[in-house]
Amino acid sequence: MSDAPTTPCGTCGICCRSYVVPVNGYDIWLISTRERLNPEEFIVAYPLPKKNAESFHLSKDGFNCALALAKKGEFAIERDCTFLVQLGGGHARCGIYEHRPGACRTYPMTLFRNAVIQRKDSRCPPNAWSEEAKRWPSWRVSLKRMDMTFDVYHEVVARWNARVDQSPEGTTYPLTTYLNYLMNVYDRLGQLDAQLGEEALARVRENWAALPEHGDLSDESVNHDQYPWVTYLSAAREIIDEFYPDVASQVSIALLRATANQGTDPPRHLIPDDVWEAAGAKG
Amino acid sequence: MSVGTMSRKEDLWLACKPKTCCYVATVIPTGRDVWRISRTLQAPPWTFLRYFESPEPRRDAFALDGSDRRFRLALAKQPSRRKKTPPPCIFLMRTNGGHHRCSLGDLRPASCRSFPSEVTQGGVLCLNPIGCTCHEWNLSDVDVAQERALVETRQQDGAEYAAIVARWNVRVAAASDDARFDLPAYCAFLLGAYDALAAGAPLEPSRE
Repeated sequence: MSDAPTTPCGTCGICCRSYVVPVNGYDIWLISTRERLNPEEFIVAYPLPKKNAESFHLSKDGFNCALALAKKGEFAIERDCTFLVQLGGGHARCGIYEHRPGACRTYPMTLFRNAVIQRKDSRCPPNAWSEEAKRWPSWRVSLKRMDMTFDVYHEVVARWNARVDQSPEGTTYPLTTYLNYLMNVYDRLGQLDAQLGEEALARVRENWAALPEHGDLSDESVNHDQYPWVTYLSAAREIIDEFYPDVASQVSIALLRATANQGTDPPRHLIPDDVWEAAGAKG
Repeated sequence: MSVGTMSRKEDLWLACKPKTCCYVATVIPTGRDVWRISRTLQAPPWTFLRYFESPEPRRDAFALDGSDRRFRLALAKQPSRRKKTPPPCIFLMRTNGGHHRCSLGDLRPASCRSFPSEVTQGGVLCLNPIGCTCHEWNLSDVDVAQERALVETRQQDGAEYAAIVARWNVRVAAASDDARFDLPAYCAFLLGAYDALAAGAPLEPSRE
């Protein structure tokens, strides 16, 4: 039996029919390999209004798209997640709970100034989460893991987009080609993780995107052992760069982000007003 | 991030698109199955179970009143609008592309895990029962030692459950003549009994 703390999620399922669930390549690879499901069985690509680090395109002038978990039937925010299992008495349960995406695993928490807080937009019933529950160490682990997997995914996406951009005029790739690319890259990244082992990976995750105060890792006084994530990112980028050898190595978005955005907060609309004011935040 | 190796049987089962067995079969869980699923999913047993009257005496058949009527548990089915197809198991997921997956995974009942095998005359047999349309099973599909262990676990869990059912039936028989119990009451008894076993309490012998 699991020793995991009892959560109010249990058989609630409200969030599973209230959001579009964003997924990255790691989420897709994990679900696909564990459930033996072709990604196209549970993934949809939807257009984004503007470009961001996780948006990919399938042709030079094509839409910027992102990936999300499919819904039952037609894709619409308020529909049930494709993996939601409806039990009796109005109870519902995630059908892939053990392999659910990072966005689900971390919901309804976010990291603000390195503290775990409940998102302002969460749909959980009032007082569902006790103060003690918000302090479970597993939140931080999951939030850090999600940061890490999305940062690596941004590198993966950047390489794909560069590949598309240098393809002959008029080339349009099917979504399957992009998903195949993801499965291949993450299969190799999975081997990297297996070689490292869980203990080393936990160290990588724990200080993910942390930098010295002055932000300069090239400074000789910096002890690089304190920043194992940089070594990991470099190894991951080497693997990613093995795909599409004709494409030049791309600038590391994760490193840029870490350097430029130390202490970056989640979007304002996710921060409760009292937390925002107590932190003296502006904007 | 690595994916553990799966047995050939698990591979075949996961790769099966229609999961016809999850439509056709009525899955009879043991109390241990019910306890494991309920405690892990944090879901009350009555949200995923139904019960039906047993036409003949069975060691896993429980009473709900002082009469001779006995009932058995089954995994509930999803509502279905298709008249010609039996309704799917309540835990069966279906993607928009028609692929089916069991949402219980490793939590699934012992009878599902050991399907379609039996141990007869000391030997493991792969049966080809009605309901499996994806594959003709034979011993080359399974690890025989592993399959034997799965069937034996199912049998042991069945014997353990029979002893617990017998205790319940004694309790019902000892209640007043007009006492009636419902499914949630029986499920609460089951969970308590298996919680006690998990805490190290001995399994009391049947007194029915």
